[in-house]
Amino acid sequence: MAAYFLRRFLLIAPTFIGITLLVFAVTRVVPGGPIERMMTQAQLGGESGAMQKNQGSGGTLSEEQLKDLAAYYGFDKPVLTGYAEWLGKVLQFDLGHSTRYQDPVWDIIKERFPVSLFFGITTLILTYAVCIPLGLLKGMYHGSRFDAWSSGVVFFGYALPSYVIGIAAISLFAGYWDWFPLGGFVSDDFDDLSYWGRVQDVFHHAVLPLIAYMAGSFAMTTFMMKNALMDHQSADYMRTAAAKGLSRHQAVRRHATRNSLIPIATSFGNNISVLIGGSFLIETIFNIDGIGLLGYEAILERDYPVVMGILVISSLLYMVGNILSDLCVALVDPRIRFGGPATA
Amino acid sequence: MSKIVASLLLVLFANLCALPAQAGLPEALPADLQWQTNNEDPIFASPDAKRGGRFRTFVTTFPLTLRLVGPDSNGSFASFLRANDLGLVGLHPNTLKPIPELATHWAFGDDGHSIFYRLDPDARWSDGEPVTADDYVFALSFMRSKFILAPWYNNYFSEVITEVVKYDDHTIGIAGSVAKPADEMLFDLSLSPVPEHFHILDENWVRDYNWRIEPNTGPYQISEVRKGKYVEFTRKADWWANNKRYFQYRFNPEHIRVKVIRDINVAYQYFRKGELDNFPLLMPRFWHKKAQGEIYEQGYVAKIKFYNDVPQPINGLFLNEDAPPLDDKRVRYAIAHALNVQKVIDTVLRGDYERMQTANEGYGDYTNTHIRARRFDLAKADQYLTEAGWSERGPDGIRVKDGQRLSIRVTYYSSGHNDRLVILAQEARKAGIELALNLLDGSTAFKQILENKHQAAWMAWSGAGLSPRYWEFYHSDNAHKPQTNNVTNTDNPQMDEKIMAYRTATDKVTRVKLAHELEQMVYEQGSYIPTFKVPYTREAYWRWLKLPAFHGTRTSDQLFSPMGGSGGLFWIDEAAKRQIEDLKDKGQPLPPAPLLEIDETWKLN
Repeated sequence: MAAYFLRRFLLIAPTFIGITLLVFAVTRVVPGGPIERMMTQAQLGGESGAMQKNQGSGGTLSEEQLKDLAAYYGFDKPVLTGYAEWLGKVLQFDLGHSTRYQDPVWDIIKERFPVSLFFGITTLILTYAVCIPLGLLKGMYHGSRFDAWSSGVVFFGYALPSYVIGIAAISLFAGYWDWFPLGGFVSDDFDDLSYWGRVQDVFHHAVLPLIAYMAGSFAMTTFMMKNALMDHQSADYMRTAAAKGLSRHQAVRRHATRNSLIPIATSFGNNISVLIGGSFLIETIFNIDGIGLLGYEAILERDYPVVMGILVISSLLYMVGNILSDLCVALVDPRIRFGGPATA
Repeated sequence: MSKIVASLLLVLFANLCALPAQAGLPEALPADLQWQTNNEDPIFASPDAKRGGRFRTFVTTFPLTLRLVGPDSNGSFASFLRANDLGLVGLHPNTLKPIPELATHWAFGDDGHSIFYRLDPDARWSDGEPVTADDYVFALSFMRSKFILAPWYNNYFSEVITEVVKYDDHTIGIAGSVAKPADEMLFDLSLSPVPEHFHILDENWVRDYNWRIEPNTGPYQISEVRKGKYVEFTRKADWWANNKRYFQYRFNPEHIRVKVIRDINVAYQYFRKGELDNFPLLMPRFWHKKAQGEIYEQGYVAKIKFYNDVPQPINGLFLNEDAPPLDDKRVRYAIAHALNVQKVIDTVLRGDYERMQTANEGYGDYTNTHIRARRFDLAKADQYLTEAGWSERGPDGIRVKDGQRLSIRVTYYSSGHNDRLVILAQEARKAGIELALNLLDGSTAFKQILENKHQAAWMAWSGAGLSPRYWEFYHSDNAHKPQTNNVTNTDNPQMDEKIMAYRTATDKVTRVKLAHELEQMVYEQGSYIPTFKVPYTREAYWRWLKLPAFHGTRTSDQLFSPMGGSGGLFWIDEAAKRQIEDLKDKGQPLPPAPLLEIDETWKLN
């Protein structure tokens, strides 16, 4: 088992190089790089007129000027040389500077961690706190009116895109009824508030985005839990427990619950990715400066150092998360022994 | 890749080609200069304006930099920074004559390429330093510097503005390479000073100065930056130009807060709640559907539609004459008669946009108002096509000739225009023409068009400056080769001759006459089909914002623009604000309710 996990850890390095090299190469060949975008913007008009002096555009650029621009955006070297340089810097924990914000990439990402962490951890806790008991109850009372209604609600949330829920929530609860702020992670005067005031402020701002984030995330876990429990309820050991004189509730609590958690444990390790999670659509609607929006804009605006920086962090977290998930499964399921001889 | 980029031409200043080398500026200030100024034009602000208050507006993305030049300095926030970066002379927004800004007087050299300016000795940077001739001399070397990473500026300030000379602390001369009428030279050579005492130019300049607040000469300066949230400007307590003729009664709010709201629908919610003071309603969807409800019915919020007269983007369908069958003028005419532009306006555009008649509208005297764009007329289309040998129709109703179907590929880059083009394509089928719609993303479409791989391009070029540009769009120098703006590949010797005459003429009357004749030739060439224009601004505003009685100026592209050449005319009435909030609490209306204003003062034909 230890050897298995060691192998898994050693595989991280080649996988990481594969992923980053692929994306790095893609950034070099896709059309519409920063230089072309600059030119297009300067020339194409919008829908309405304006009085403007145009000293910033026009004229042709010489080869030399274009080389300077290419060098500025790091397009002057062959792909592999460029990649090797970039990787060398990453190994020294230097993700470079953003070509749009001119700030170090690491600082830009770090600034947004609290937002991702807050929403990630809150979503995580709420999802498990709601889904596990709900799944258990639905499993125990399968086919009841409660089961049908809760399925309806859960699937309704699952079926609606989260940004639609976001827009509806903001229009209703913030626009018309004024119960919540229209957006932002905290108020503009956050720094002047007391500690308790700040906590309140964060939660007041978080309610609507959390609803949008979570509406779709209940279905999967709830049904995984419910179906696992129903499988286990018909297992032999449950019959044995009943024969021993345990009530159904006691049998479920003492025997079936832990076993039903196994399917959920298979993805538990990947929760480490909440560190860098976020949906750009929800962040756009709620005006939150999070990592989702950062990554989306970086791709759109061809801010390659940021794209690569987020990729470095997210791919590492993903790979570590997969290993953690395997560990979790091994912990909750004593039958599982990775890397050992297969047992019948 | 870099080859493509290398040759992407953005030839606004086409005059750079084949110009004789200019003689430099004289070493001593010529004694016989005729100094001019302009303190006679009417003021365009209201003496009733009150100072104070905080104006709250929004942008959809946080600025990436506070630099005025260099990478990413061209976003939506840039207009706020540029508006506080005064030039030597401004343009009177109604008369379009030059007016003093940082210079009090100007004079023209007798070579037709040089201008001399007397600087206003009162002018100050926001840090209190006086603005002197050195700041202009420095501006030129700054704009030419490689370190600012702004190659187009590098070019402009090398090729269009060739020299800046200091004669004394408050007198400078600027030499340009372009022969143009005097008022246009003033406009093109109006250089903004750069504070020499603030900048250290080296290879780190772009990064080091990304978030530094540069001293400026305008009424406002940034007082607070909250990254990702807002930028706040505060009016200078003792702004040097406070009482100058064309600056008085303007720039009234004490603070301007530019908030970042990333989604326009959410921004509208902020406005509806009174957390933003005004809201742009150019989009038909907003004007007709969203901007409804109690705040309008009760009269707390007014809507205004204000016609202006500014250069319009050159909007339309550009036919590539090098791509058969578009080499046949009759086919081009037929396509123009088969485009039911009016139907698009009446349906999907809700009658909001107007038909553009010529390529260059909004250039005052230069605009030829006698030309009417070809109208939708199936009989005429049929006549032209029959003449051109496209008389037979295939089984699907599309015309055929020698086994070829009359199918034209239309390249476009805005998915928002799908509905417009679908209507045009359906209507064109009635004339037996198939328009095959080809949607690409912006950069890709632009590349295809500049490489002449298109048949018809559905696009808009930005309109700019004081007079139309013909050379870059229609001269044969730019035809049949990639990476030029002559995307129709117009190659007409008579036009070439006239274009060259237009480029070398410096007398405005002659230039206007030539521009009218050129516009007529463009019409006869038939390779550009004009489509829409939006000759107005539409906005909603809380009625504690007050406008002058005339609402705006001829060149106001926004009425509630807090800064800029025609901006800063409105003010905030705190008493009215309290009254409106009070009425809102009680649910009582503010007469006249609802309030819709339509101002056609500057409406053309």
